[in-house]
Amino acid sequence: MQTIIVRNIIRWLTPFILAYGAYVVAYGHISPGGGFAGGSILAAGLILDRFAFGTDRRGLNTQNVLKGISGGLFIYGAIKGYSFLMGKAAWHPPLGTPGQVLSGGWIPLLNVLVAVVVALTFYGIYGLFEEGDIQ
Amino acid sequence: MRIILSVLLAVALAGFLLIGLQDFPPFGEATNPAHNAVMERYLEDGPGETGASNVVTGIILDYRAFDTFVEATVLFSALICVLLVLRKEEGHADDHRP
Repeated sequence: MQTIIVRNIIRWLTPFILAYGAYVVAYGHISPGGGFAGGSILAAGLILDRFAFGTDRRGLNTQNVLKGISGGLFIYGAIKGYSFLMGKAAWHPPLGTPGQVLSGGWIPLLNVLVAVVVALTFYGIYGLFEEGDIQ
Repeated sequence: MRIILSVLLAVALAGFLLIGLQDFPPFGEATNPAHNAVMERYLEDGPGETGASNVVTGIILDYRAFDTFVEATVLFSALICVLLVLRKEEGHADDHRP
């Protein structure tokens, strides 16, 4: 819990940071950026929010963070394992025209999964260093 | 004595690495093995084959997707290690520390 100045500034700043992170993730296959960069920005937003308001506002406890990371990794491994095993015969979403947001087959979904893993990992490491626990 | 041994070991290791360096191709030649068809293929066919106009993303999330997968797994392992080392266990039943 911080002073009212810090809390108010962070309350106004956090939605912009999260929206920018989501933009970097969603446009990762068109412009520079992607899962790692966008996930770091999302984690910065989450960490700022936690820094100002503590941990009692969200469901990001230890179990949910670990579930999110493991789920993201599992889905990623399942999709790409299927693709690599099947080779050319593997089904993938239509490629679309390069340059559109909804194009690139699995790439946008994989970007989102990597972003979830990176954001939750950084958030968890911050919580562990600050208070000794994620929740 | 230990210092002399360490220096000898380091010099021997450096010598072995330098011997291996003799077999490297000359620097900057156009016929080097690093300049093969893979680079051209990625740059020319990448957007058409992966559907991503950002070629870097096309490489790391399509051609080299397992590399990215294991990078994310490394992050996860780092989190688990930090969790094991730094997590506070309060009121744990089998905590025998004084």
